[in-house]
Amino acid sequence: MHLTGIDYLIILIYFIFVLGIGFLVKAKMKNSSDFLQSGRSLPLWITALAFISANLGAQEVIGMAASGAKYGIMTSHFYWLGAIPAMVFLGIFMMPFYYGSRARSVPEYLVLRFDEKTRTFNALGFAAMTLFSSGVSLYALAILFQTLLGWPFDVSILLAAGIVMAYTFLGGLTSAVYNEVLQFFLIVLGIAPIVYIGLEQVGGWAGLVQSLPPVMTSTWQYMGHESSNPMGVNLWQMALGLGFVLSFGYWCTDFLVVQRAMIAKNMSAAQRTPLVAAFPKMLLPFIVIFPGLIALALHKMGGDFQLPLKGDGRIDYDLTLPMLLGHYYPTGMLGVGLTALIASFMSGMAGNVTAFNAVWTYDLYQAHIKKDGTDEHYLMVGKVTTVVGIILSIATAYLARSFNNIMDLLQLIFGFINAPLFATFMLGMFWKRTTSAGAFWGLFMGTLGATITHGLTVAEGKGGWLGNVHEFASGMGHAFFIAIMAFSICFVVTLAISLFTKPKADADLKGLVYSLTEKRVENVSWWERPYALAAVVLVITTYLNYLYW
Amino acid sequence: MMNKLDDLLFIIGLFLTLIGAVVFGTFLFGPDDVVQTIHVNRLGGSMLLLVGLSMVALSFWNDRKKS
Repeated sequence: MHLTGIDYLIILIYFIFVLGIGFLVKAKMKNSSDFLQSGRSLPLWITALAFISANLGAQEVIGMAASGAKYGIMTSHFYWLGAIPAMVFLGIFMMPFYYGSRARSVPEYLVLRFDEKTRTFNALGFAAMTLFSSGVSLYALAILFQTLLGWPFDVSILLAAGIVMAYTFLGGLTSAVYNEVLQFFLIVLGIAPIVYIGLEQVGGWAGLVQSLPPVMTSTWQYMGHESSNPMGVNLWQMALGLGFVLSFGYWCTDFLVVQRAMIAKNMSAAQRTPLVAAFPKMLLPFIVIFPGLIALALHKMGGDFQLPLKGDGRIDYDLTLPMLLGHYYPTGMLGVGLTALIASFMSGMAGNVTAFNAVWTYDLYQAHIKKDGTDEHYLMVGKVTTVVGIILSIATAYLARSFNNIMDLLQLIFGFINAPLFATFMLGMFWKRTTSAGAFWGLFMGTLGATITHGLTVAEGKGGWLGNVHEFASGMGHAFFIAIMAFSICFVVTLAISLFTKPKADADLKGLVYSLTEKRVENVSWWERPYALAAVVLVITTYLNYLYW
Repeated sequence: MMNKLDDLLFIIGLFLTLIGAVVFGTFLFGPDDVVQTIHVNRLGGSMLLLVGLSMVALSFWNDRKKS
């Protein structure tokens, strides 16, 4: 792939705008709330687009195209099953507590509802996860551009990290969020032409159905057994593992995405953020997954586009989208496509660093190191943490270069932390009898249970470091099973211990538990009410599942 | 104009318009880049310009509504 001056001009314009946004927003950063929470003042359209962009990093964009080529339209389960229902649940049932409690972070909700040790356990795990994730984003960007364009690894790392540091240091969370919104438009407009041209070349959806095996163009029909589909999962693993535990665990409790709703300007906007976001989210498979299907169809047609191969002759699915960009895009749109990838890598990094920043400053530093500092002090801590967070991300990126399995480790941490956490939140928000002791030990045992399950089961040569009780057909099925175990153990332990320990008084739980919180009735048009939005979202999503049955 | 720099809708619209102009300009003045029957830069540049200019127009319309 060869870039010309025009492509570099487009990338330069992007960098100028990104830094410019940081400078423009800087003047608004008057206190720690402005820097770490955007002053809780952002309008709905910004929070909604940032909400989905926070989960639209380049690994997702590249990964979904790769999965589309490897697994077919079944990959859409990550959206139509594994995201939309959870986003609806978050908006309708959980945002009133997150926003209404005035918690500044997800861990802070835990200290209000339960106690300090539960908050700290979650905060430590989340902080580690975000730093790893940020570093892996940086590493993946550097490797991709080294492979495609021959850019030196160190240059990519330092350039990207330097720009992210500049705009997040200047404008804090607002800067990161504004750039996420910019990234959304870049990704959609940068990749949509490939989908249009590719579908034209393969004969539309009918052409895809004709040229690909039936299992690649069906979402539900081949879920009867693990061996009947390329994903290697069955219906129960998909529905419970992805559709319930992992999906709700991520979309309802991961502070990186929930933070984007918590910074909305009022409760109504906060509740509607994930609901409004669900509309573009349900259409994203056509942008990010279809390129994979198109690439596979072109490969099978035997024309001038072929999927790239690794050294051992296997298809390198991760290069599907970059190869399509290189194949279809001339100078000009090539610059736009690559800028979209750069934007998504950098936004992914910025999102993780700003989430880490809030959790470190409020849930670890303020909670344990300096409880009574002035607001100027916490603003200074926030800015220093930005710099430290980026430096640690750079260090993690170099660590990832030395240890190939760091990405596997990240996926594990992700599953171990989010899966049990949802059980804690479900019981905490909807059962006032849940006690602090129950919550902490449930979370601890859920995480431990996930670790042990990983140690006793194997998939694709990974896991089984304690023994081999069962081998799964695929890494995905393995991950779903671990998530189900983590959730179940956390749920049962939390329930059991709560029954034998003393709960907080009702007066202390007002606004934190469903049964003790006044239900608001808004004076808005029917189509602005959360339930109406949710109903429309679910109807359309159900229809999409039916359409691609 | 300084107030517009506070408006994210305007900033993103301006960005998309700028790069759309670069891409569309490459189609108009650059070497022939026909792929199938579609000029990729014409398609992509048009989309960028359309969305960008719409966002800029919407930002000015919002201002008129507020005033």
